[in-house]
Amino acid sequence: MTIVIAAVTFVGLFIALAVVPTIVKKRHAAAETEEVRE
Amino acid sequence: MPTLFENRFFHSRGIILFLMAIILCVAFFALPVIAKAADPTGADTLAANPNAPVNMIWVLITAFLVWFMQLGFAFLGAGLIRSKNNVNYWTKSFMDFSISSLAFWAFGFAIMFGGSNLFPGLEDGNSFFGYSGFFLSGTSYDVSTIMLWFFQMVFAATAATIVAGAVAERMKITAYLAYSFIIGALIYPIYGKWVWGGGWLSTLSIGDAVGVRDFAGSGVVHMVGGLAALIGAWMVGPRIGKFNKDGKPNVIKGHNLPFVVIGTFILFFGWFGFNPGSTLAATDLRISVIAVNTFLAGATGAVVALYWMFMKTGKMDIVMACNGALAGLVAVTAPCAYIAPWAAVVIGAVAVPVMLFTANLVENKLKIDDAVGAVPVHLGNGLWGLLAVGIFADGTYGGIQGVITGHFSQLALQVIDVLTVFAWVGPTALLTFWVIKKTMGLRASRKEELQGLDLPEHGIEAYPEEEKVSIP
Repeated sequence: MTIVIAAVTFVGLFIALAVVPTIVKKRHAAAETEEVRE
Repeated sequence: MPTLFENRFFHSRGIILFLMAIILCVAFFALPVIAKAADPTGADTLAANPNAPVNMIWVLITAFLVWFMQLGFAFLGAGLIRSKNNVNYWTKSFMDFSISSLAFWAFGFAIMFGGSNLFPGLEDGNSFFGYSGFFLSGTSYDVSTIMLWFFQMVFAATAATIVAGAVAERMKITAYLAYSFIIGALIYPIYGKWVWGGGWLSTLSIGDAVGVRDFAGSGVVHMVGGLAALIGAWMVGPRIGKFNKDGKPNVIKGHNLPFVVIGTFILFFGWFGFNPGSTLAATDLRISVIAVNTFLAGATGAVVALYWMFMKTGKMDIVMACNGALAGLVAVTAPCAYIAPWAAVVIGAVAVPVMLFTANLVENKLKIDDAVGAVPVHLGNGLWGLLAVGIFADGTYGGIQGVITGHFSQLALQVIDVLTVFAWVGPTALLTFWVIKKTMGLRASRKEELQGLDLPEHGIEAYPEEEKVSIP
């Protein structure tokens, strides 16, 4: 059971480390572009 | 062209909430199961072994020294790069050990020491892969097991941080942190299991020699970090302006020489935790020999490098002396316990030509931009250190005998160890950086790189000009 939890956590955390920063960065870039446009 | 994670599919609050839910679930399940704990107070351990306190103090203090080496790496690398990327570099240095240590807590330690039976909670595993001790929960919630975790964690963090310098000034920080997670969770622990966790390399026998020997990690820490650094630097590509069109490399000077020297001093000091601490016991009085061997190799490396460059250029090059010291220290890390002091001097001296040869190979032949020279020091001399065990071991410690005593079997084992590092770390580091490149992207944009990564990625400079205040 612990191994399964560890495996799921591993995949989850890696995706979190990869996906979340990419999305956050993209959103901030979009917001900055919008501010410049205004 | 957008990377996979820049795709619109991922741009919803739902996916973020889903990921957060996974993390919360894990936090819940990973809570230590106190009822199953072995000896979380230490009372039983103390009753069983009166030497336990002195050994525990020794291991923990040396681990603190090794952790302090993170500051040395940070100073060293920061001094060797340009000021416009310094906030980025310090952030990477500070965060890579934070992330890799958490990965080592959750997965790495269990993979590396599960099945080793060194301490409670580490019973399950095979020769390739351990699977007990995840999250330091259950019976691994024990004072001795947790002591081992702490000591091993700082080593894992050292392997992770070696890469920061090689890929400096152009790798995205988000990509770098994702890589730190993978090396702490998988790449480092699996190979570490084979050597230090009772894995197949530790039981392999040839002739009268049993098991490869890497006392404090020339291979496990430095070769692993150095090879990952080489692959990372190759995958991310050279900095703008590093190579001319004809392939000739240019020198991109660092911004702060005192940082380089301070970093080297701190690393040198930390090495007295790295090597002598690897006895895991203060009652093993070989620690004096190990400390002196460590010192002699580092000092010899510095002297040989300084005069080598002086003969070549007529100048006393302190950066080269620092790199020479580090090369000697890396090289003596594997053999430090098995050799006599004279051999440490020879190993430190040979480390310098090994470093220069590797630097020439990486920069002029392979055309890979290693921004701070991490690969020659860690990969080149990690390799040399592993081989040096098989050559200079004198049989006075652990019965390990090298070529100087007329035994060649240990050297053969050490060669297999070297080949194993390449066979394991090469493909896995390549795959890791490739996946990151295809999903989130490895490299900052050209505009960001030219501007320096500090402002685009952090919104702040390391050395902001004095704020211009208008005086009424």
